[in-house]
Amino acid sequence: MAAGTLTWCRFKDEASQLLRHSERIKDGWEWTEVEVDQAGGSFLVKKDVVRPTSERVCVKNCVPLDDTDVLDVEGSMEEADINTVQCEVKETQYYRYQYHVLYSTSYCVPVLYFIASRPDGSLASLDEVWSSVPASFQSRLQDDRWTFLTQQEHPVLGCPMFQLHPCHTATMMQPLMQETQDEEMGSYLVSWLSTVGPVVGLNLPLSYAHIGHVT
Amino acid sequence: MAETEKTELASPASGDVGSFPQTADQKKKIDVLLKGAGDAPIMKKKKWAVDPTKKVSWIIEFIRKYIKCEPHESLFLYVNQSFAPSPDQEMQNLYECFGSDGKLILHYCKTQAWG
Repeated sequence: MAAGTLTWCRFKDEASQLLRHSERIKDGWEWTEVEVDQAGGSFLVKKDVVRPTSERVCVKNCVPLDDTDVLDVEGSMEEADINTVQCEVKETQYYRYQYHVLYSTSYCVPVLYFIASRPDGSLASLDEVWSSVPASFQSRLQDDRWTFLTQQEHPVLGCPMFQLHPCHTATMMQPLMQETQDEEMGSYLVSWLSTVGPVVGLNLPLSYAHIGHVT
Repeated sequence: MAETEKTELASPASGDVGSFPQTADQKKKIDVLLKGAGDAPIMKKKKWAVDPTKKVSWIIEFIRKYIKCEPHESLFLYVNQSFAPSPDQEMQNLYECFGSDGKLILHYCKTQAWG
């Protein structure tokens, strides 16, 4: 077993730990079994996570309502009106996210898949997903734009989804697992999910930190 | 419980001289111990007094500058040596949940790429 990886058995155990905690705090994680008994055939799902994307502030001309002027509006449309007030209108768009945590049998690590849809149900584009990455990760993203997010077929369901690429997960997890191995093991799954999740808007509540630790 | 006087170690920005007594308690800085994990370089100065309203993302930025982290490297912060709090978590919150002996221990970890 290479350092920084995890077995399917441990993935399932830790997923059920996570689900038990999720049930307690009601934050909506579910277990989906598609191909029972097959490694990687079942996965964690969290649906309906609504998050605003970057707020766009646009300037609109607001003409004050004044009944004496209403009649000659069409005549003075082109000219700048001194009565026109420039006001900023905040347009916030919301996306509905769905996150899937799968087990990759080839990399032996968990993989995060997600999909984002607009309020009308259509799917958000890669550009939109990029722009909804939190500000604290944006500079980092510029550097890694193409390597960390890829559109991929969902290994179990077969639908296209975005994937956080798993090829560096083991390297990333290795030092963490070294740190915790002397004492009782924390949860690999929670450590990993709390690390990569925030990039795509998946924030785990602090109470997850106590999973796997004897208190 | 925490009645022992904390000695304020030189903080990144310690300049509040004339604070009012009633706000002094609110503004009390949190002692944070920063420890490197894995191959992350250690910091010469490990103990810092940090404003309780500072966020995780601010601490990450601070460490990045301090250990001269390259732009292509990512830096993550962990509590309990295993949990990465989200970037908008405040220090006050973390201290209340994970602080012990009047200080908060944070591990930082450097990695080459995402995923």
